[in-house]
Amino acid sequence: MTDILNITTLDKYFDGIKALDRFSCRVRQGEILGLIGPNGAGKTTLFNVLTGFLRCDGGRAFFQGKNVVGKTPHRIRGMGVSRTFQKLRLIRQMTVLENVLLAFQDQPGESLTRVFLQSGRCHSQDGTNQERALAYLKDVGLYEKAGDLAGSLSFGQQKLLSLVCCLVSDPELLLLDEPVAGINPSMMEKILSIIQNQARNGKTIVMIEHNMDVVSHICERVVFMDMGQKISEGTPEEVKNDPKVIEAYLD
Amino acid sequence: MTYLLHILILIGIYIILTTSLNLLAGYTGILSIAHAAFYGVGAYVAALMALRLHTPFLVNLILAVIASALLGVLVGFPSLRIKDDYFIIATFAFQVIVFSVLNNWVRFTGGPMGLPGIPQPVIILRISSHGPFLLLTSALAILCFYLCRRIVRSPFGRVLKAIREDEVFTQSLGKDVSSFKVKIFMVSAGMAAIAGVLYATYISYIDPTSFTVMESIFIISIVIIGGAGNLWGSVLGAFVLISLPELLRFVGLPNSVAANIRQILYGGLLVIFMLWRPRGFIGEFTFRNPSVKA
Repeated sequence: MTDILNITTLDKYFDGIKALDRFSCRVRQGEILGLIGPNGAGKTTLFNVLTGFLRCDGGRAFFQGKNVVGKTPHRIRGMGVSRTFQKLRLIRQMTVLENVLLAFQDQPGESLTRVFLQSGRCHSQDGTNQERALAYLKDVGLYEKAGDLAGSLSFGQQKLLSLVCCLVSDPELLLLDEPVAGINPSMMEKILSIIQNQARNGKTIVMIEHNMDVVSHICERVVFMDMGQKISEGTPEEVKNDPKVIEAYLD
Repeated sequence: MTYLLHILILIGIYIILTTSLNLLAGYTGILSIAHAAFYGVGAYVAALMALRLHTPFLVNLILAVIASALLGVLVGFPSLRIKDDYFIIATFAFQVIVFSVLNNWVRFTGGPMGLPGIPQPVIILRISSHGPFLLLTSALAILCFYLCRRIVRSPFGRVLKAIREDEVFTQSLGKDVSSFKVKIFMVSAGMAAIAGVLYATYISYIDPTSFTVMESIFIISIVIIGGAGNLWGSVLGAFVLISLPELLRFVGLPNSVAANIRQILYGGLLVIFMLWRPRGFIGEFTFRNPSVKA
């Protein structure tokens, strides 16, 4: 299997604290990789560096052979790397449908000149996007809520919606920061099955997750990180029984 | 009758100012107190061109818009790096710089004496009386309103609102937030210049005191009281706040008192709205960001 993401010796310091310490890791095309580790291990920092929200202090990360480190967030999203946030982010004052519409890439209607000079094209593209957005919502059971404000949804539904926004325009690599933390079991099952479906369709997923049952259930491989370093890597079983991992948790 | 037309012309000019600032402040959430500076740049560019180069009105109008829009880009760039309160101070600085240049570059701008004798606009015919000028103002105000409406209803406008609510999330969806901000700054500044050109050719005399920070604050007050994030709010706000003080005249107050009461009225209204109705008459956005509380 080919590597879709190749991270080499990433460094990130926060005032002398090493959040990422020569972190290296490879992610294979089409796998669901679990990223686990204690709080403050640098998992979210890694996502922030990979998606351009944080500058790193050294190292590179190649997505499909192209370095993403140092690029801006919107360019990285345009290359096909999409993410969700640990602290749920949505535009709560907009409708569910509008949130999904926002997520489409390369919309002609987002260019001011085209809004005025090619309004027909902008309009028809937005119409097509609307149909596609509604199809996405139908798939996940949010179709009835399309016209409601995103902020009026339950927490679980909001998490589901943020995942939908992340999937729009078919990104190749999904970086999911605790996609099922704090939600009820039936919603959790729904979200996990969406993630598995994505993997079946050839997409690659890296997810941060604390719940080991979830990790064992859907991740083929797991990377355990602590103090900004990769401590262990392997199947969930292997990592769970790795003495270095047990030691890290006991510290 | 002339008096009524005069008020309506002023309202038209202010509708252009408030809807254009609403794009920036109400829709994108970038509070700027430099709008009077762009208004002034438009007025001075058109006035100087007409007085020195004797160029026709439409040429002056277009060049004033371009000049102001370019300045808008210049001011917009810091907004990418400076956040919220600090950016307001940066726009304040720009406002002060523009005022100082207008006030002190005497040979070019006439300094505090201003520029008298600005010729009336000629569009096929000379527009010399209030009636036709109201038509011209209304046409330009409607054009600006229409352009703003097109923008806010487009996917471009959707991104602006998203930036206002959550910049990080918007970036994560692949939007070049910086470019959107600079573009809307450019549009907003360019439209303010249209109002400036109208004002200069209407009054036929301009001096720097019309384009002070007080004027900027007055414009942003109309946007907030009318309702940020709603274009009709800006129209309504301009109608109410321009005509309200005129009503004071009919109460029989002498002019010297009425002028001061005006300031108290605006200030008082702003405080009342901030306290009890932060979204203004029909606004969709308050500047109290709920995410800050969390």
